[in-house]
Amino acid sequence: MTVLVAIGATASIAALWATLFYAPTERIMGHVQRIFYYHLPAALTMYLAYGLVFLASCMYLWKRQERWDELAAAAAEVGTVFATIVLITGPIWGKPVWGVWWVWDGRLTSTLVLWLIFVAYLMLRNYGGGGEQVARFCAVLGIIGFLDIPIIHYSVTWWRTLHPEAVVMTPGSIGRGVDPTMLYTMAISMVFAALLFSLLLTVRLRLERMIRRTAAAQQLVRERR
Amino acid sequence: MQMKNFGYLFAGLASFWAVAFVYLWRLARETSRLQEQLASIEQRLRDR
Repeated sequence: MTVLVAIGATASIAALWATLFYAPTERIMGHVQRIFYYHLPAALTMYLAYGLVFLASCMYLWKRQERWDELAAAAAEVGTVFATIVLITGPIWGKPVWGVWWVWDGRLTSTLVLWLIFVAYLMLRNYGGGGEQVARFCAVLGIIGFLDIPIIHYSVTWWRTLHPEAVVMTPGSIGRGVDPTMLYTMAISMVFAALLFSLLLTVRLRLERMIRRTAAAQQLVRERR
Repeated sequence: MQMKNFGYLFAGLASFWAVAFVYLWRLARETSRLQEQLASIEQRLRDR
């Protein structure tokens, strides 16, 4: 854990330095484009987190082992933190570039839908009362939520509106036509986001196990009364 | 560094850090609350 925190802190400083001083200023958008180096890694980390929810939910429905439910619960919450970051940084970048905070564009709307699905997922976890039935419902909801990810990803190709098409990860190539220093900055930011995700997931998973241990201990106390 | 749209850049980066730190702080607070609760339950079980 200490090693992860140390590497993560170093990566965070490197990402901030590269974003502010190493990456060139984009010709049309100016400095505000630098939000891109935090917005895109947050979005890709959100994909990764909800991908983990999907995997863990499928495994839970198949094996019925509690560890898969714990992983799904932790990844869903951390994924929602990154989804929140995406939904905040996007409009802050969009306002000076598009002139509006929000449009009901395919990419933005499908991302908001994903966020709402996982907010409902977290509410079900927190207020559903726990137990095997809630875990099963959450697994199904986690799988349904993940199905929105391909829609989000391809929305910019299917419905051409305000949100730009992919520039870094295009089919068949990565970063063609993009300034190499922009790509290196993006790579550093991706490493930072991945480390931050690993740290948050580790801490949240530990907390999830502690929550279950506490609930089991409280149950034991009640039974001994 | 040219200052045009600097406020938006600052807000964008600050919001990333703010959300991450608030969440990490909430996790740390919740972990310490549960540790205390678990220790108290274990103590009660040992006392019986």
